[in-house]
Amino acid sequence: MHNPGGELADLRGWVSSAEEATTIRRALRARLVGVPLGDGDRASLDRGIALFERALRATFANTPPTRATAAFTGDAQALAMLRGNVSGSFLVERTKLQRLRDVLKRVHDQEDVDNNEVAEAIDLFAKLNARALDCFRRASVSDFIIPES
Amino acid sequence: MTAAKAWDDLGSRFVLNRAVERVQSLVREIARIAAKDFAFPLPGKLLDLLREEAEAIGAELSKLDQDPVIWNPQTPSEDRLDAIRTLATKMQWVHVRVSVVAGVDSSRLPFEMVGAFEELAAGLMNCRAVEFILQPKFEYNYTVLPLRKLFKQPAMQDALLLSMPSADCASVALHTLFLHELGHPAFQQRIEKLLRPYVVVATAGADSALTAQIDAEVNRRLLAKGVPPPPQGPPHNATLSLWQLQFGQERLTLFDECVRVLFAWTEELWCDLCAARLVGPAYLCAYEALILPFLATNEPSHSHPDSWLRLQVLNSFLNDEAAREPQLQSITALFGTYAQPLSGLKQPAYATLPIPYQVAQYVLSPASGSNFLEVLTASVLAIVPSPITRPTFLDEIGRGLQQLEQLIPIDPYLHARGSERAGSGPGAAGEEREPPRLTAEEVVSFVFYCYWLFKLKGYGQWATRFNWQPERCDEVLTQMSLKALEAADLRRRFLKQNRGL
Repeated sequence: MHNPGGELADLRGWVSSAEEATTIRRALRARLVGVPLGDGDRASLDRGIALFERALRATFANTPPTRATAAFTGDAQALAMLRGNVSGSFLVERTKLQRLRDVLKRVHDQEDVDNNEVAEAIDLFAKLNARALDCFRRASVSDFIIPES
Repeated sequence: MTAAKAWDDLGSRFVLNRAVERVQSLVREIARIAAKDFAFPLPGKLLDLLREEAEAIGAELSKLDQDPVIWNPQTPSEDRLDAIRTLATKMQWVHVRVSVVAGVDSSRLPFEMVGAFEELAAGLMNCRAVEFILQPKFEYNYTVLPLRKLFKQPAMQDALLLSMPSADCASVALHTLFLHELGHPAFQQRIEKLLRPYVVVATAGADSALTAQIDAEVNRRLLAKGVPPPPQGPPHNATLSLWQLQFGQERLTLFDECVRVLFAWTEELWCDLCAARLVGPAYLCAYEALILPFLATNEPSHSHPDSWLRLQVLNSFLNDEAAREPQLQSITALFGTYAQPLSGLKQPAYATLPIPYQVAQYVLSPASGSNFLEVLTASVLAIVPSPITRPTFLDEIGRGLQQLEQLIPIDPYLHARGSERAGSGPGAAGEEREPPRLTAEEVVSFVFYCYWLFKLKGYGQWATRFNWQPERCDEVLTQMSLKALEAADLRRRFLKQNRGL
């Protein structure tokens, strides 16, 4: 979209990212505290796995998503954060992405999994959650209104 | 359970309960705003959606209150608080959108334009229907915000929030700037992909023409980064190679920057030409009236070309339009008096500006002989219909004015004005009259606009009824506009009749 700064802050995207990170984190926490997974938890984990898959593909293809392409889908914003394209965000190494994707898969399929690795995944989604909330607070609605001529 | 843990639970539940209270307040606030009698139906629909969203957040908070994972003794309190705060952020997001909708006030805009503009926007964006909501804002600016960015609902796919300066809501002539704004979604949906390769090719062409300047800029950037310059004398392979590598990389970066600037300027100029195609010189007059006084500088930016270049391109386009469509020549001749002062606008010293601006100016200036401008113009002509070939737009405007005329008798007022001039009217007797709210320039601009449309369409009945002569246009149209804007009740009646409220 057209915008003087060349970048687009999408509040909706940040809210969705924060929400997504929270639900995935909750599903992982359920595994840790021994509460059976519900359908909603499994769906959240599915989305988390898909997020990692896309991040891995983007890494492999060396085509990091830009802010513009990341805009308007919370998931894509989370992806941008994982890839370190958002100011102040963090990079997640490829091997860690692969490992955490496998953790999510095993939690989803209710297979054995190391609790430390689940805790590590929870920590990552906690960071994503915090970053998305922070981006939302710093963004402003005027950032994505097309200015006059 | 330890004492600290119990306090954690207590603290988290306290925060949760406060969040629930905030949701309740938010729902009440939305209901209060929704009680307002909006002139158009869309704001009410949006507020309904927002109320549903707020209530859904309340339901989620209630669900959270019973969540066995969140309140599990092993779950750290950070997880709970983050879950609550994420929901609170959703509330804040609803609040932001309520503020957008709460500020709308379509009744302050001359409504006879709205239907025509909506239909026009649908044509430009190549979609079935576009719906507007209008928002006066305390900025000297026109903006457009596609509502799909604020609302996920499919109904919002082609709805636009347009804003205009609150102080100038009544300045109908300025509203031709909306047509520039409507160009943005049309450009992004239909033109962007087509023009991108041309932008890259044009940038490459300018790159060849401005090689010396570009190389000098790349050298300057490398030195500023601390890259050691190539050694003097016989080449030293390793160092030279490093310099060359960095030079090539920096040059590519600069090329990308040039493409981005040229593309942004192209979009702006496309929108300018879109508006000029639709309303001719009236757009230019509005541009002068609103943009020029508030420019911080006449220099370009990464997103916008400077006004000098924009006016050159507009002028050239309007002259070509007159050549393409002889019916427009009389209007263009009238415009000549407006174009005159523009020649006094100072051209920026492009050679001293950043390289991307030099490149964009080189490509887009009508004087440069670049054929990119022809491509740009062709894309405007392909997408944007001339009013001559767009009877529905004209019909809409005509119908709006006709309905307005039925509601607002303007003849008596015109007679009064005539008597006043003759020295026997109410004004002559010392009776205080409200001064016109439109400036002379606004009236002239609006007259251009309407006169152009009427002339092309041949609204004979109007000519007969008002003894239609160009010199009387300003009087008739000014009074129509003023009466319309002042007659809020009549406006509401019109809207109810025509919008099914």
